Amino acid sequence: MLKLAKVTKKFGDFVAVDNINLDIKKGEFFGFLGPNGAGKTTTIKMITGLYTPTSGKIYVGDIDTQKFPVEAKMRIGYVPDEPFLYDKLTGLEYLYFSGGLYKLDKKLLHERIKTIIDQLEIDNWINKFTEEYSRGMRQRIAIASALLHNPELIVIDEPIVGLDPQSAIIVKNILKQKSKEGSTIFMSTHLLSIAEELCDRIAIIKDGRIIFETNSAFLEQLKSQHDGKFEHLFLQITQNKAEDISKSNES
Amino acid sequence: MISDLLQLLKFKFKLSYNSATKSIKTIGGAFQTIISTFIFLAFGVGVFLFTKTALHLVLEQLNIGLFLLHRFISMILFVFFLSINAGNMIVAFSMIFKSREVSELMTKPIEHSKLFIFKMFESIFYSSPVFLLVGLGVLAGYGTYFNMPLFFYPLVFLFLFLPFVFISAILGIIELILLLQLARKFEIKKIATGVIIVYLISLIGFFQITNPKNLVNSVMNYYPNINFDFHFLDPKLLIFLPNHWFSEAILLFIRNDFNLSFQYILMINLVFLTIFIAAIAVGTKFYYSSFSCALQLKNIFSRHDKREKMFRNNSIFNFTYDSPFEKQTEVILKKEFYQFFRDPAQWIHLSVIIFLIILFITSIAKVDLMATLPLMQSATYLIIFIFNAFLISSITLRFLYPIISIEAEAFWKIKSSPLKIEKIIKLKFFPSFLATLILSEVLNFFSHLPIREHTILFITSSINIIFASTTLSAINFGMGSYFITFNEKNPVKIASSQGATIAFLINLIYLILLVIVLFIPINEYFSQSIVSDNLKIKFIFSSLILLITSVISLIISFVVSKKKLSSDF
Repeated sequence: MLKLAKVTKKFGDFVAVDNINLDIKKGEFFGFLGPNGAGKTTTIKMITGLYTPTSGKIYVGDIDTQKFPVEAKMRIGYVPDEPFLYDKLTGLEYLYFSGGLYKLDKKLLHERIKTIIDQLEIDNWINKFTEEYSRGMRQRIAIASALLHNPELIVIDEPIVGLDPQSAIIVKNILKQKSKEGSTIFMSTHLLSIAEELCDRIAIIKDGRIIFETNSAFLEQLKSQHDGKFEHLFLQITQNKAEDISKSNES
Repeated sequence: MISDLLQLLKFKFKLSYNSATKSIKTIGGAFQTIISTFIFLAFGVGVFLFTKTALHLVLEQLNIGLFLLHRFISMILFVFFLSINAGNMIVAFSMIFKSREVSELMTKPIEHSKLFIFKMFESIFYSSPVFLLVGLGVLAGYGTYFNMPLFFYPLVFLFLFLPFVFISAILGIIELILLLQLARKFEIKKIATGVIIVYLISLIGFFQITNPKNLVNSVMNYYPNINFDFHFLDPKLLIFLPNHWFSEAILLFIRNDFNLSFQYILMINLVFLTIFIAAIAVGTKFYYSSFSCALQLKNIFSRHDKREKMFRNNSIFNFTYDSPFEKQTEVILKKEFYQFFRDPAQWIHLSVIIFLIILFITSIAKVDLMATLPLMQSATYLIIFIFNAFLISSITLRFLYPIISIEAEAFWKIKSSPLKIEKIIKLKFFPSFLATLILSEVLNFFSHLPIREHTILFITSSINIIFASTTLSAINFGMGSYFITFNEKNPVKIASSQGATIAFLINLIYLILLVIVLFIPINEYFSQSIVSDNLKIKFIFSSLILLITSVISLIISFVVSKKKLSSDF
């Protein structure tokens, strides 16, 4: 569903993402982990068309995102790490605005908005201007707007950061549900517990390179060799010991 | 007190220094800086040459004399004074009360009075760089024309021009604080209406009292002795106005009456000092309460008032209403509409501009064109046409320049959605352009009503104004895209940034081009009694030049916008 082939992004001399390859299958819940400044958000911005890769190709399904950006974007639902909204629109207007961008029929849009409002429990403040919203409220509106067109691929950057426990549970449940329904999810996070709980497969990026990649079953095996805690494993991986771990597990 | 202020200034200077050095580190940035500097310098030189030529024209060709010249300078200074005053009220509102920086500094252990003084100076310097450049250019042109000694330039600049600008700007800030205090007791809309009425009365009253037409006739009665001392013709009210002190000081200087000239200079500086002290006193006492009031105003504007209900109940504006437009077009247009009319900074400024247009239609458009000299007729006609274009330039600079930048960080939604860049550009540009076009035709129609029997002027100007507004819209839209910034969502600040200043200078260069292109056919028209085929060709040729310019500007503007919007967000 999502393929990154030798993707590199440079900002001047600085290489933010360095020749990464990923292949994520349809219906997979993929966790993209890494320390701050590793290149997670840059990768996501390239997938969603906010950045242009310096080199390499990105495919959504079989669509080349650079050759056919409109067609590719039609299949993506994106939630950024900082969900900035239009201050002078209400949450409800913002949802109609988002649906319109994806050319949704008005009748269908009414129904989907009703459903998503119930699912995300946002009906109490949906008619207020978004400038009055807390971060959690904005995050939920951004998620709602990304799901309206029923995207095949959901790209979500740090979905839980800054959310209160109630909002976090709601967001997690909706992501689980979407995954069950067959949507592919590409989630970036540095909350290891979330990745453990939700993802079928994870990759760790550091200094712009993918240094580790595994599925959830294999992750469990690895954890057992590191006090059963993902934190310890993660620290070891990100402290340049990824190759050792891979080798030890291969053996 | 001083050390705290210095600390803030140092911090601000460091910020400016960092951003300036950062911008020249890349080849593109350095090129941009060189081009900007060149445009600034070229503009300054242009103003200098224009002033010298204009002085030559009015004193040696039209022969209006020193007294009339300085009365006209006084009138221009009065409009200048009101413009700075009103402009600084708007800039000060966003810089002293609404900026994120102020909200942050309010939480720090800094006395409110110090913060106020710091932000007051910042807002004055922020809103007046173009005025400063124009002032310097005019001063240089004026001084060299009259062969003034070297000390004349620093004297006039430091002790007349700057205090004059400061009086106007600081008065604007004092007025703003007092208005915010009033807003605690009265409805803000009533206060805003009151302010507009006061400005209207001031402007109309000034031109009623000074009555330029009567003044010219009275002086011309003494022709050819037009350089006499005609002070007896001055209305008594004039002696209370700083614009009069300014023009009198330089007139007396030319006439070598230094004693009296210095008295006016002293007066303007004493008034400046008094107003400065008054501003500090008012700021110390009312700054914090005005700041709180400005915050409350934001909430008042956010509430769903009657106007808001009207928008919502009216199905055309409602997002739930299925319009005949294509879906993406529909939602973008509705979003633009709501963003504009729900932002006080936008509709208040729009009200001010509508006020200016009404003022223009009711007063300047009635200027008598049937003066005897063809040159005078041409000059008057061109001034009115250029003023039309200048209004369009100001409107497009204020509203079209920031139109993409005000998307701010929320632009991720559009950028990541299945919407072609070309479509975003069209949907951003054309609705505002259409409004500009209608407005420019309205302006053109009313300014030609007094001379409606001159059919050829009516027709050509209706066509030329389309090309002029297309070019000005394209320049300002393109420059706004070129200097795009998603970090600032205040349209007033975006429209008064460095990029906007450069756009404004390019606008002025285009206005000069308009004069050059239109002067020959217009002057020939007023000089001849019949419209010859040769003249018709000249009219067509000038329109053709304007058409080509508008097409080129539009293409460049769209190419630049596409390139900028396609780049990384």
